[in-house]
Amino acid sequence: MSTFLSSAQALSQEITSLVHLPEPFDSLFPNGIIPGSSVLIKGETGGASSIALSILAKMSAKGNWCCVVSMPWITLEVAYTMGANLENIAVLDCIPTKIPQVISHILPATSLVLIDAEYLFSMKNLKLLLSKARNTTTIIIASINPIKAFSCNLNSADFSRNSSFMPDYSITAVKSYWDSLNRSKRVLNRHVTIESGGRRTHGLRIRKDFLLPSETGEAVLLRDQGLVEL
Amino acid sequence: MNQDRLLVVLVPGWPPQDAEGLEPVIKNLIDFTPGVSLINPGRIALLTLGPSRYFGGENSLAEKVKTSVSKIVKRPVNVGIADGLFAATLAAKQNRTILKGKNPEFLYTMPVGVLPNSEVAGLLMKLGIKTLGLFAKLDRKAVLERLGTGGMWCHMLACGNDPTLITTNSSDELAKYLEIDPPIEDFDRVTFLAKQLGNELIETLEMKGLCTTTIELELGFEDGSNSKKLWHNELPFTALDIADRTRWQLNFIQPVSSLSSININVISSCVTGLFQDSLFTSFNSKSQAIEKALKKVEGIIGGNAIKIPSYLPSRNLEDSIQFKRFGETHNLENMDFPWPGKLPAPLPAAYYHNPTVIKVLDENGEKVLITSRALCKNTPSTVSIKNGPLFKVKDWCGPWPREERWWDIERWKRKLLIQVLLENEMVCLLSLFKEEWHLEAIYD
Repeated sequence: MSTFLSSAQALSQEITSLVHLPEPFDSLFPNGIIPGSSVLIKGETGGASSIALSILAKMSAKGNWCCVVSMPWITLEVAYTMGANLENIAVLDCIPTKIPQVISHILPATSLVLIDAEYLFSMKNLKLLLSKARNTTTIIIASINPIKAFSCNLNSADFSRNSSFMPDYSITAVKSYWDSLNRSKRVLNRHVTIESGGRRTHGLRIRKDFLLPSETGEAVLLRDQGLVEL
Repeated sequence: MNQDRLLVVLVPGWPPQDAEGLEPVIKNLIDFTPGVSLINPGRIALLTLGPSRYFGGENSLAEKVKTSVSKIVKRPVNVGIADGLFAATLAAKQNRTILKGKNPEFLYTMPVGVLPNSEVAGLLMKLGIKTLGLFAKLDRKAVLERLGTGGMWCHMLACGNDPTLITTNSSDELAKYLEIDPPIEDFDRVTFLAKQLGNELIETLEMKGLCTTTIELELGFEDGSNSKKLWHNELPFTALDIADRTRWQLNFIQPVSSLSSININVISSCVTGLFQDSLFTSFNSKSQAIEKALKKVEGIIGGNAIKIPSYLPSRNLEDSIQFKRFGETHNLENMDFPWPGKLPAPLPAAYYHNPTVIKVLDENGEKVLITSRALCKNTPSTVSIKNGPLFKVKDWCGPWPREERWWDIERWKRKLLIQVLLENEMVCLLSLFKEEWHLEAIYD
């Protein structure tokens, strides 16, 4: 009985201290996410980097310190157009072997760490790092360099096959299409269907349609497709 | 105030991590004067007093240094001479020589954003004090009262007095020596020892109410050889800065034998009070925590690998984000002009600074070519990276010619850009440059 009570207490504490992702992605996790969670952003049809940048922009704009670790390909100008406060973003270039040590030091001072998922998949001391992130309530967001999918047709499943990295939450761009190129003579906006998931959602998956990027570059929620049947 | 005349060389666009790459430049500058110091990668300072007489004046020295460094780094460099490091750096941005004692006139119209303390600069902007001239006119006592010692230091800079080089007192009392027995080869261990020695030095200085901005680092080796170098810093040296300089010096000389001693001499010191934060105004636990964390990270990956971005409107994506070291201010000019030829929004989320060569073929398997009038000779049908899978092109648009720096023969570049939509709904920005197709960016 006492065990049940203590676990119920822990659960209620967990629920009351949940945090929400910035708009419009908060609607993917209506109850919020556990502070200090790891989030994997995937997009086999494209869109992962845009989602990551959008979250980075909103978090930094609220005055949170964010770190971008070993992602030289990410276009920070896109985050700037989405309203990011670049003064609250630290960009760290480090060799893969030093990444765990570096992240471990920055966790207590930052609210968000954005990292190339490939490094997390191959990290040895990952469990220790993720538990430190939980203690410091820092969200770790991992996203895959899109050129990997382009050059070797790899997706997140291929990377994670031999990895101990089990993200708490996942955000997946499952379907997307662009408004025609030739009619407007350039790309305009992309309609993306994004699905939330992960082991902390207890099997609950939510699908929503977004415009990402919209013509202004920002993410716009289009419509709710409701829960996904498992 | 007695200030050294300094010549500052700025190498625009030099990678902030690449201190070692400037070693040939420093070796070359030592031929002009032994007082050469790398402030940070891309910025070198040298004392002009002796060499300017020898080379027939400061302007002639500046020209000689400029020609000589440009040849080594294979790009144009900026050179400036003034009293003190702060003014000399600003003079270098304009390729000017500021006469002795004329710092106040030179700095008068400069925006306060050039000050190295961003907090003070931001506060001054909010107060409507937009130029260093206006700031310099304020009463020194009032500045000290309102803005604390950090503001006082900036006020001294605005008045043309660089407090980083106030006195020159190289005394044995302020030197630290460490004999390493047995000698060691491992660079990481050397840096760790240098940090410890640096800590001891900083503590000794603090006991005397002093800090240092110029040190001489002498490294002794097992085979009897030694390496001596002068190092300047805009802000007082910390133990981590000293460890950084030791690592750079070792990388410069690439020693063949093990290190047997480290000797740090304080060349110039000044009163600590000038650099202390005021008690209440700068208290910010969040920024203190990140500062502390980044200082620790600096010890692991080096200060140049930690960058704070800033937006600078420009035509190219690679130039639109400028990086500075943590704690440095962004001295960016207002460049918010209409930039014709700039990539229209939305911008690609993934941009590759070193674009990968890619194959763009038409229906017959022939390479897609573009005429000199920017018209496609054949239609893109498939795209693939070397040894990668083949993607069919669903739709495409362009090409747009982009000519960069047409006025500069060496840096002139002409690219032709196209956007392609692939069968997997991925949109890529491709460029034709030097007759080869490159993957510039992905609209991920």
